[in-house]
Amino acid sequence: MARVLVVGTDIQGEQALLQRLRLASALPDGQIRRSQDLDDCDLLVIRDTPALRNAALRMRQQRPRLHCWIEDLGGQLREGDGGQDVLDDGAIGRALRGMQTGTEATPIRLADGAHAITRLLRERLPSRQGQALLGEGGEPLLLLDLEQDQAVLLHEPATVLVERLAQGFEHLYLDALLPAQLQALAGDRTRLPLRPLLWQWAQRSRHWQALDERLRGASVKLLRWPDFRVLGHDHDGFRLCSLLLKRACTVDECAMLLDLPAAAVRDFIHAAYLCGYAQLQVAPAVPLAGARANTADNGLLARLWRTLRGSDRDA
Amino acid sequence: MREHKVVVLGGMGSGKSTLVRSIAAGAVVDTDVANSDRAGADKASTTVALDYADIDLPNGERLRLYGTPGQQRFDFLWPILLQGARGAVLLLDARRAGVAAELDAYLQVLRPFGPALALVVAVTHLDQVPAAALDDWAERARLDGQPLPLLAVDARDREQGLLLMDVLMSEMEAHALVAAHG
Repeated sequence: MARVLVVGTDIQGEQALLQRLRLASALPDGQIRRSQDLDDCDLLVIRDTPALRNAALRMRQQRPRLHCWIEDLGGQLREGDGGQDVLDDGAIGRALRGMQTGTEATPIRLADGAHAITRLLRERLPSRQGQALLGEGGEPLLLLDLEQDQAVLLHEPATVLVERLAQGFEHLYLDALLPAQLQALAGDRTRLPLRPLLWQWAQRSRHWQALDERLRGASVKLLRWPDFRVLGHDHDGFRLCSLLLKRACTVDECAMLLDLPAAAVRDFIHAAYLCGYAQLQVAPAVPLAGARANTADNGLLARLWRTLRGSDRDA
Repeated sequence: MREHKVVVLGGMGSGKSTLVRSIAAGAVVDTDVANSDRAGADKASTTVALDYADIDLPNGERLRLYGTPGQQRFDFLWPILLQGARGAVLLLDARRAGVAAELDAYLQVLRPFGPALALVVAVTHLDQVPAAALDDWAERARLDGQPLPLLAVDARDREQGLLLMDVLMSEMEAHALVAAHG
């Protein structure tokens, strides 16, 4: 836990800043606490006014272990020792996680079970925040370095581990790690790209009932192209990406437009969702419009190409 | 007989001729001459008009691949070649300084061809630049706000060239579906 004393110009601004620190810390709820007592806080954040600067300087002289940041008028944070570098969210998160060293002896549980783990990974992967340990029944299985987008397998081979993660998704948990803890646990083990592993895990898992239920009334939109290491040589995966980046579609619309089995579409969406590439939208009440005339040419060329590639592979 | 045009663009030495040759399994017409611009790219020969290859499609139609010359003095050819093209592959040489600026410049050329043109960006020579900023380039690769596929490719490897074409065809298909169904 890190205790933060915020001294701003208004309560709303102080609360907004505290919320920003909580998000940047990538720590579970309750791990960044507001403090009202200068002698019971790890970090003092002040608004940049001459009076507050002078006061903070005096306070720090009396409390050498106290960290101090200054928030300028534009909302940017800097170290209180006069450093000019703006602290971005990554630096803020690292600093806050560092401040709780020694105050917590037991691991901090970030998420328990498929739903909470999915939610957490979707939040943290795009913002590249934090390190974590994935385990089951007290047994560590996988280290996740979200900042570096890397994974370290604590069980080999990868295929067996992925299968175990997929089957046991509901019983998995995620604990927060400090960078040094991750390094110590990883040792000399090889670091692997994280998202291809998550992708395979999500595709193999059958613990997606809650998401599938939501998909009945939702369209899916892709936010960006997945890393091509994730997609491999999956031509239907390319087709789904291309379509869902341009148009939000329901599972049935994807299946109909691309002539794919609905189950294959769902498998793709599960993986894209876990990796944070996909988001759900309320499906429009209006059904898909019928095809307009004279627009099928490029579709034809793509079909011809697939036929050609299919016969190439069969040859 | 209908023909479908795909244009391969990119700077000198980015691997356009090699890619066209790979995809067409060597059956190409090229216009390579001795390279007089060794500062632009340190290679023995370069394309002065264009590379061209035909691929027969199952229904008798034909896919035509055009590789543009990479030297800046031939840039007037790019819009001419892009007229009527169904798709384009943009090759970026990861070894060159200012890849991001080069990407921006090509996207500027391609913007007028808009949604009618499917586009894929491929980064070559990545094996020689292990710390390449692939994620940053991927983030930048957008046309009218729409993210473009950006992938690493070894232009010498036919399978990788064909995979690039798979992605391009997916883009063409999606363009067509969105145009047809809204």
